[in-house]
Amino acid sequence: MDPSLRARLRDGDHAAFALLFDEFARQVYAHAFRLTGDRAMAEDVTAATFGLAWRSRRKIKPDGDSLRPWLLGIATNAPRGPRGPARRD
Amino acid sequence: MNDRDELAGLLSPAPRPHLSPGRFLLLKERVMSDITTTPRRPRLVPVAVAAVAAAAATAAAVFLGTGPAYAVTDNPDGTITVKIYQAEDPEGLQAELRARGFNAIVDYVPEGKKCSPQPRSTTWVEGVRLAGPQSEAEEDGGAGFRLDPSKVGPGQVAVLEFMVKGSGLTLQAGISDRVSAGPVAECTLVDRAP
Repeated sequence: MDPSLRARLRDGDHAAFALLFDEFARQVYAHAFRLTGDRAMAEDVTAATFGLAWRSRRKIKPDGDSLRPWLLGIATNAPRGPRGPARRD
Repeated sequence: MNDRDELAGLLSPAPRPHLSPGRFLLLKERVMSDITTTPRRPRLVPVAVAAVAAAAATAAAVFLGTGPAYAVTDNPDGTITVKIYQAEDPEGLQAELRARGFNAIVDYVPEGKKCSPQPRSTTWVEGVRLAGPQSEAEEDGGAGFRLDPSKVGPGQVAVLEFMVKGSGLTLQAGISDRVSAGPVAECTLVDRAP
């Protein structure tokens, strides 16, 4: 990923975050769907994932490869509705 | 064909983990709204819990050339399928719904805009969503939403905000579906924060 985009994300740049969403939302959704087996819950998990990613944006390192593994990791641990999150923290 | 294959053939195909363009847009609106609004305002379309799955807001890519701006179809189960082909004439759509006894307020919200003031109602009926997904066959005919008028009780009104993006063949639409038990402010379109 472009280091400048990482920097913009860290700085709270909404436009950069929109680009992140554009690039990875479908992959996160597909991952969430595999976890939940439910479209609506997968959308919830996807939304929660990006919400958590936004709040955790300062953890993004200035350099590195794709942020996909980071996002999928968040998705795996994101809340999945009233029957319980998959959180391991 | 053995028994296993025969049984497998009777099963419905597994749903595809595909995020349609309309759902994508809706989800993006939701996420961007969540991160840009402080304090956090109510989500326009919480697709929330599994129980709400069938009533969750739906969106899809809309294609169209010339012709009507929308279509309204009554379904045998009492729901109403609304298809939006062009981002115009919300008043006509609202009138069509009301003619069916479906008390609804309809607004179109272009990309980058939002309704003001927010919230438009102080008496939202929590947990009620009346938009559900179309059948796959319906989706083949363009984007749309299945609305359930029975979710709107006496004295209540459905507040439907159709979020539209693009135009013509590339138009996409999402929906915010809420029910208010009291007055609803008129939607004045204002710029959404970048």
